[in-house]
Amino acid sequence: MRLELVDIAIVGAGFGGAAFAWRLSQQRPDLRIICVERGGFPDRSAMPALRPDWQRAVLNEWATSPNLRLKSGKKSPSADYPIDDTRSDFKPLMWNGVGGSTIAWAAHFPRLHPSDFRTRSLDGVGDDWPFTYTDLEPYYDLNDAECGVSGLAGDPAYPPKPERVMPPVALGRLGMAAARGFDALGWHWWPVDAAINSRPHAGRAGCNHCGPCLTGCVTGAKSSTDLTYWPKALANGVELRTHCVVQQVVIEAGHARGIRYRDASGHDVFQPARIVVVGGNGIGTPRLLLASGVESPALGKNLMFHGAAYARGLFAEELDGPVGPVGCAIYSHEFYETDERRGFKRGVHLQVARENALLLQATRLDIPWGGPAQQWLREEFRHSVAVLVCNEDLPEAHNRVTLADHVEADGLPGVKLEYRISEHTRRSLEFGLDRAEEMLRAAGAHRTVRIPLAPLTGWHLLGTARMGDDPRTSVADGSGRVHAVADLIVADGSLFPTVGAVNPGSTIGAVALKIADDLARCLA
Amino acid sequence: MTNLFFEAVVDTILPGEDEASCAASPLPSGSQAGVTLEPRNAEEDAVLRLIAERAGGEEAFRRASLAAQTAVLANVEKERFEIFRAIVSNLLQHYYEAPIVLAAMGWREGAAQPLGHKIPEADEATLKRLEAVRARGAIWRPAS
Ligand SMILES: Cc1cc2nc3c(=O)[nH]c(=O)nc-3n(C[C@H](O)[C@H](O)[C@H](O)COP(=O)(O)OP(=O)(O)OC[C@H]3O[C@@H](n4cnc5c(N)ncnc54)[C@H](O)[C@@H]3O)c2cc1C
Ligand code: SF4
Repeated sequence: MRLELVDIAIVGAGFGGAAFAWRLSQQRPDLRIICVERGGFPDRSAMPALRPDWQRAVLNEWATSPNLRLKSGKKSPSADYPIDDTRSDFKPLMWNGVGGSTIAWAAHFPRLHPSDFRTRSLDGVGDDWPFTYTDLEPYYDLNDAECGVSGLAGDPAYPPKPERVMPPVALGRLGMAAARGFDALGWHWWPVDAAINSRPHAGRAGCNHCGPCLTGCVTGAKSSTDLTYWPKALANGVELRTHCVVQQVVIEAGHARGIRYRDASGHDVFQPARIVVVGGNGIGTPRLLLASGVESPALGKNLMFHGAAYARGLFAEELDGPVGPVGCAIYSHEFYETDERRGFKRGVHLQVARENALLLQATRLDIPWGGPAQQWLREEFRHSVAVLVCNEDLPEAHNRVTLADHVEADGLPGVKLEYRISEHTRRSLEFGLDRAEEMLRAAGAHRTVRIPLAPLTGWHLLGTARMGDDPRTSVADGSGRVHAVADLIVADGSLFPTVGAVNPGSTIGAVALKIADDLARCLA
Repeated sequence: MTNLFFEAVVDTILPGEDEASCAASPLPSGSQAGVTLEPRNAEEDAVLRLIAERAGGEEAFRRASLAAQTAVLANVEKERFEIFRAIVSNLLQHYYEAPIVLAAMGWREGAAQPLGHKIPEADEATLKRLEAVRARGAIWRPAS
C-alpha cells in the first residue's frame, strides 16, 4: 500500500524521536509530520507495581533486557526483537514502545561536562563533537523545562544551570550516609538532577518513592516521553502510528524517499516522505540503516555503553531499604576530569544508588541459593549503600553492531553486537571502585564488596551513527544529517561521538531539539 | 519423584534461619514459606532426577545432612548450570514474595503502589555540609 506524501517521517517514538517531533511541530506547524513506532503506549493501570507479585516482573516481562523479556516466555508490553549479545561484555538494555527506553529508565538526568565535547583537543583521546557545551546549553535548558527536573542549582561540578523547578528528590538515610563519607574525605558530592517530580508538577504526580522505577512508573512522577513530549507533539498535529515496524528507509538516487513499514495488521505500507528521521536508538538505528543499504564506513561501529561496576558497603545502622527512585540520591564528580597521575585519561562518575528489591538482590548474588546467600541478604537488606561507578567508554571501531544473515520475526535482519571492555575501561573502573570503597568506609561501612563487572548494565546504547565532519569517520554531521544519503537524519543516542561518564538521556533530548531547530531553519 | 523429595530440594536451596539465629524473626525454610517445586519442563525434570541419582536415590537425599545435600546440589549446578539456576530463580521468585518472608525481613507485603514509601529529606547538618562543597568552588574544566 502506498500512502500520500508527508513532509517528515520519524522512525521510533523514544527519547530522540519524541523530542524531535515536538520541537519541529512547534517550530513548523505547517509541516505534515508522522512517526512510526514498533510498540504501543504503555498502560499504567497494568504496571507491575500495582500487583503484590511486582518484584518478579523485572526478571520476566519487564526485565531491562529485551532478550530476557523474550526468554521469559511471558507477554511483554515492549515490542522486542532479539539481539545476539553473546560476543558483548555488556548486555544491551532498552524498551520498545512509545516513550522508548524512558519507560524503563531511572531518569537520572546529568548533563555532559564542557570537556566531554572536546576530548580530542584536551586529552588526545576520542573525538571532538561538532559543537560545544555552550552551543547545546539552550537546548539542555529547554529539555530540562519540558521533562521537569528536580535538583539543586549551584553544583560546582558544572557551569551554572538554571534554578531547578523542583527541589531534589529526597536523599533518604542512604543518601545522607554517603554524603557523610564524601564529606569526611573532602570530596565533591551533590544531589542528582532527576527527571522525576519530587512534587506534583506539570499535571503529573509527585514521586511517592514506591521503588520499582525500572518496571514503569505508575504515578507518572517519572518523566517519560509518552507523558512529556508526546501529548504536546500530538496536540501540535503530529500523527503517531503505533505497532508498526519500519523495514526500510527507501533510498533512490542518493536521497531518502520515505519508509516502508509493516503495520499492525501485517500489511506492507510505503510512506513517501520528503525527509526521513531515524530515532531507533544505538542498536535499532544502525540495524535499520544497514538493512536499508546506507553505505557509511562508520555506521554500526564505535558502539559505546559506559563501563559500569558497583561497590557496596554494609552498615550497622538501618537505612531505607528498597525504596525509590532507584538511581537518584547523590553523586560525586570529584574524579570526573582528567588527571594524568591516575594512569588513564578522562574520568569516572560515582553515583549512589538505592537498594534493589529483595528478590532482585537475591537473584543478583553470585551463588543465590543456600544458607550463606540467605545470611548475606539478612546482613545487607536495609543496611547497604551501593555506588555505581561509570567511566568514559572511548570509541573503538571494533565494538560494533552488525547484521546477522537471517531475518527475524519482525521482518528485519537479525542484529549482532561485538563489544569488548578495553584496558582503559578496566583501569578507570578499578580506580573508581577503589574510590567508592574508600568513601563507603569513610561513611561507616563495616564491610565493602565490589562487583567489578556488571554485564546487565548496557543501559546506554551510543555512538553507532556518530556525528562528525568527515564522512570517512562519521555517519552524520552536527545537525544529524547522514553524509551518505540526502534527506536522511538521525536524532537519537547513536549520534554521540563520545559519551562522557554520565547517563546520556539529558544530552539525547537536547541534541534532538537542536537537530529539529537546525532542520526548521534549513527548511525556512 | 515424590513431593517429599521436592520439598527436601526446596529446603536445601532455601534453608531459612534456625531459631537460634540472632534474627528477631528467623527466615522460614522454603517449604515453611509454602514454596513448592514441580519440574516445568523435561530439562528441569532431568536435573531433578540427576540430583536424586547423585545422592544415591530420593530417600538418601532426604535423609542426608544439609551440608551433604548442599554438596550434591553444588555438583549438579556445575554440570547443568543454566537449568539448575532456572529452577533456583523460580523458587526465589515465590519465596521472596511470600508475605511470611517479607515480614521476617521487616518489609511490607503487597503491591508497591498506591502506598509508596516515605523517605527522609536531607537534614540540616547534611545541607550545611553541602554549603561547604559549594564554597570550595568550581571543579569543572572549561573547554570551548
Ligand atoms: C533500564 C534502563 C535504565 C536507564 N536509566 C537511565 C538514566 O537513569 N538516565 C539516563 O540518562 N538514561 C538512562 N537510560 C538510557 C536512556 O533511557 C536511553 O539512552 C534513551 O532513552 C535513548 O534514547 P533514544 O532516542 O536513543 O532511543 P529509545 O528511547 O530507546 O527509543 C528508540 C525507539 O525506536 C523504536 N524503534 C526501533 N526500531 C524501530 C523500527 N524499525 N520501527 C519502528 N520503531 C522502531 C523503539 O521501539 C523505541 O521506542 C536507561 C535505559 C534503560 C533501559
Ligand atoms: S519511585 Fe517514584 S519515580 Fe520511581 S516508579 Fe515509584 S513513583 Fe515513579
